[in-house]
Amino acid sequence: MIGAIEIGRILPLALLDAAGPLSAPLGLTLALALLGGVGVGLFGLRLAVHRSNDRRRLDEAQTRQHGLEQELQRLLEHSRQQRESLEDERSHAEDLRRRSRTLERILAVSARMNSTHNQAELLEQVTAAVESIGGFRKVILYLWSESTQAFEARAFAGIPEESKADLIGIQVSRDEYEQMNTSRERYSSSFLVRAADTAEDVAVQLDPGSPWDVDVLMISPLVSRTGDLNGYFSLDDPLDGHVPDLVAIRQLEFLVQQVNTAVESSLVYGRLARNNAELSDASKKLASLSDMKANFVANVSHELRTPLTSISAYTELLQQNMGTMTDEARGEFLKVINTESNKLTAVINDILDLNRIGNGPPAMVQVETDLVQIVRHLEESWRSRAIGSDVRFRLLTSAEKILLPVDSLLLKQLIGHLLGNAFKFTPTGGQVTLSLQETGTAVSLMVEDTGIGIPEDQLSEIFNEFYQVDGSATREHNGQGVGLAICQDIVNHHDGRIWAENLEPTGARFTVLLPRRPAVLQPTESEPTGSALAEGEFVQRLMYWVSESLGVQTATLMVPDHERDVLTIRAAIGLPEAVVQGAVVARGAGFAGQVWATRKTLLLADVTRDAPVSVEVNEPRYSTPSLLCAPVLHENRVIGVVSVNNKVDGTSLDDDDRLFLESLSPVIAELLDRHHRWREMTEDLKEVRSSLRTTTAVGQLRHESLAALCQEICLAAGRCAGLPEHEMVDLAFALQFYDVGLSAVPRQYLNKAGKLSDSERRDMQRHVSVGLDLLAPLRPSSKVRQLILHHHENCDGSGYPEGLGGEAIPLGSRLIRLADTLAALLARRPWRQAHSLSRALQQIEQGVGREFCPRLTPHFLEETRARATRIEELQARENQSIERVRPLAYKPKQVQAPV
Amino acid sequence: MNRMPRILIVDDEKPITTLLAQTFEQEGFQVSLADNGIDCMNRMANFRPNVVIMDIMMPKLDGVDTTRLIRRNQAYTGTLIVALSAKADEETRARMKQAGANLFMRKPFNIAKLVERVGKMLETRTNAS
Repeated sequence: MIGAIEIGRILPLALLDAAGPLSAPLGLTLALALLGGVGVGLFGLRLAVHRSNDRRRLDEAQTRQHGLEQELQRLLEHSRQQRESLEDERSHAEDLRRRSRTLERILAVSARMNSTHNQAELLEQVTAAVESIGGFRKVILYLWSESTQAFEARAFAGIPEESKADLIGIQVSRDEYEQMNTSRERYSSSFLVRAADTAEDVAVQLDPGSPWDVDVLMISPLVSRTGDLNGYFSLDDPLDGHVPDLVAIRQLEFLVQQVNTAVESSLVYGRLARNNAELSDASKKLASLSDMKANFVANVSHELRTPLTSISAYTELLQQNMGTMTDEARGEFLKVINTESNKLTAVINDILDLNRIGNGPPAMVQVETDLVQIVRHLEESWRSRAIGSDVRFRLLTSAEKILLPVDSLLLKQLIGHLLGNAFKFTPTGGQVTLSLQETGTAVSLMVEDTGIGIPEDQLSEIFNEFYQVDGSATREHNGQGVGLAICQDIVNHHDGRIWAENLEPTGARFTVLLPRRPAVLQPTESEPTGSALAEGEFVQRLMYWVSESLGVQTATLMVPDHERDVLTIRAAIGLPEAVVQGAVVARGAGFAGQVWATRKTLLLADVTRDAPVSVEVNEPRYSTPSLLCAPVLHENRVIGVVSVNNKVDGTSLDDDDRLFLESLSPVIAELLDRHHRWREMTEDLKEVRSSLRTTTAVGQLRHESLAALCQEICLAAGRCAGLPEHEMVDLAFALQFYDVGLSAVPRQYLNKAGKLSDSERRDMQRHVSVGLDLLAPLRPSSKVRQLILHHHENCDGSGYPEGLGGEAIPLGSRLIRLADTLAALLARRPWRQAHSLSRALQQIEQGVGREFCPRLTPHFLEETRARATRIEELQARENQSIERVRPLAYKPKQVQAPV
Repeated sequence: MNRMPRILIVDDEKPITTLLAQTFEQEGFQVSLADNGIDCMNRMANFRPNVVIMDIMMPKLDGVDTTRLIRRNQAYTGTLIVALSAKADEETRARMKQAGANLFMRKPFNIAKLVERVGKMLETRTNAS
């Protein structure tokens, strides 16, 4: 019996121990069953004791029973505890299950978000997800806008329509955000603030589980991988009406992080889509150009074949019927053949002209020509044509002489085409008018007719090289496809403009505007070729602008030549070349010389009478006698003298003009100075520009940082090591993009503290080839590809992907390896602080001969040391910004401590 | 053929129509002229040609559309249409064929050959009917 009792006592405990917490229900049941057995055993024992009347044994048994009952109590207590902890376990498991369900939903949402590329749609999804998963009824998403330099409300959930309209206009500056960010009520990266319109001095208190204060908002920032703040969520009105606990916040932030990724990728996608659209636009343009070309070929071949058809048909008949035809009939036939041959010649000439102008640089000789003489000459030759077709022909020009540097042959051809066109479309009894006029800055030439006009929708297209008003097979008039294109070309070569318009009640007007060019441009030094606006061109435009502004025909800019102490003409509008070339004015002499000396503006009503100094005034340029001459001052030095005269409307220059020119003068000085500086900068930038031919979205995502500085060091080291210029260009390019493949590596690998597993490492190493795939659209040269491909090779051959070693690794790759390592060492990682510069250098030195090339490393280290101060400054700044934007970890003390 | 075959020449190039008219008259055709598609359609009902010589690039209504219009009318199913054009690229040929032309000749053309082909086609048609 005793044995059984002993077993009954021990076994349940043993079973309970062995069963462990997970199988607790089973263990408990067993234990209770066994305890029941023990109770029955005790009863039997008591009876036996009564019968034997053995007092001693009874006492003993009672003591034992008492002990057993206590034991039973303890066991019952224990089982109760077990049941309670089981309940705990169950609710914990339930909690875990709920959280994993939430995580699943977040992942599902983020998958959906990542497949949405329409930004508006994405933002709606995102806010809806934050509302449903994050458990806040009111959600506003603010995103950073580059254009306004502020955070703007971009998407809403739970916000009534009427409030949305107000919110959309709101801009939160970075300062205002930083102000909010000083809140000390933080959970990891999120924090609580008081809504802007409530009293600011009431501090926010955060106590998870306490009722939510209606004035409080929760802010959860969107921080990019590079630490930039892309925007933030403003959250209000939690579903359960309480301040959420840390777990809920962690979940929310996880969701926010997914949102961030989705938003960033949608931005990139948007940019890609825009690029794509541009590409497809360009290809459409190309396609339509080739359509036009095909159309042109068809038209031209038609133009050629039509007269040819008549010629060949008439010749064929002539040949066949030579003997039987009358002289008269033969004459008729020959006349047709002759007419058609002339037509053919004209078409061919047109095409040849087009080719001559359209190909390569124009072989133009631009000489000062009197346009009035040209049109008078043309008038004579067209007069007979006018009489022949019974059309009235008029020439209108008031000027005696208009001098302009032009190619007179081309100009005659231009006017000829326009007149020919006008006559062709003008019916008998109509009128063709040619007029020539002069304005301050241009010469205008107009040809008007009273013909059928031009269909309105085609006015802008008729000058198109391959265009024919009637492109279809249905045509009223032959041979107008090429002529106007030639006109356009001729006008273009004179930097002019041509356009057409319809007249009321009928007819068309073609207007040609030829600019009066400055007589000469004198570049002070050799022009840098290829820069956007050469110095001479710039000054020319400047003077053009002055003459336009003042309404004068002549405007001159003279600049001091300090060596000879004279003024020479830098640019002039409306002066004959001979005058400009020879013009040299000594200080104090002439009008300009006097202005140079006195630094005072000179306004003369009549140069012939008021001349304070003796000047030759019998030059043709003074068509009106008044003259205005002003100094251009920069930093209290005279850097030029501007003279204007000959107002377009023939009036005298007056005090208003003087004031106006004086007010222009600082602007001119500023522009000249700025242009000068711009040119110097252009030279400096040229090199940089050529090495960064292709900047893309990927490149632009970087910002001024340690990484950029490491690139700079890398380039400097390359230069020190004597890399030839073309290799430097490749290196600069490769440096921009060598690690784009990292974007395809799971972030947890990058942030993993310990060693990567083999499979993880293989994944990680794939980033090199992934990067090259990503770069493929940029079409990097094979050199650049090589540089990127081998930037993880080690000097001792232990690197990847090909295990090259020593001199087999491209020089550039070895340098990138160094720069990459330096950047990594200097940067902070989730599992460690940033290395100090000295420690980083030490590590690199230790790796010489293993990872790093013994020949290049010294150059690299030297360049790095030369930038020690900058590196340390940047490091300090980056650390600071990281601390500010993203607290290192959740600190419970901060949360609970009242402010 | 007991009666003179009728031929309608449609072209906006005067020298061509004149020449073709003379040639076909000598060959024993009754000839009528039109210088665009509309003009051609106007003449079809009265003249009822056996053959139409059709240019393609013409004002108002081009050869392709004119041919299509002719073919739409049941009364002219037997009319031979000979397209004659300086515009002789593949596309134009295909369009003209689809519109219902029986023959396509490129300009410039050989008159003797044109007359011969037209004659042969008329003969085939008469024999068949």
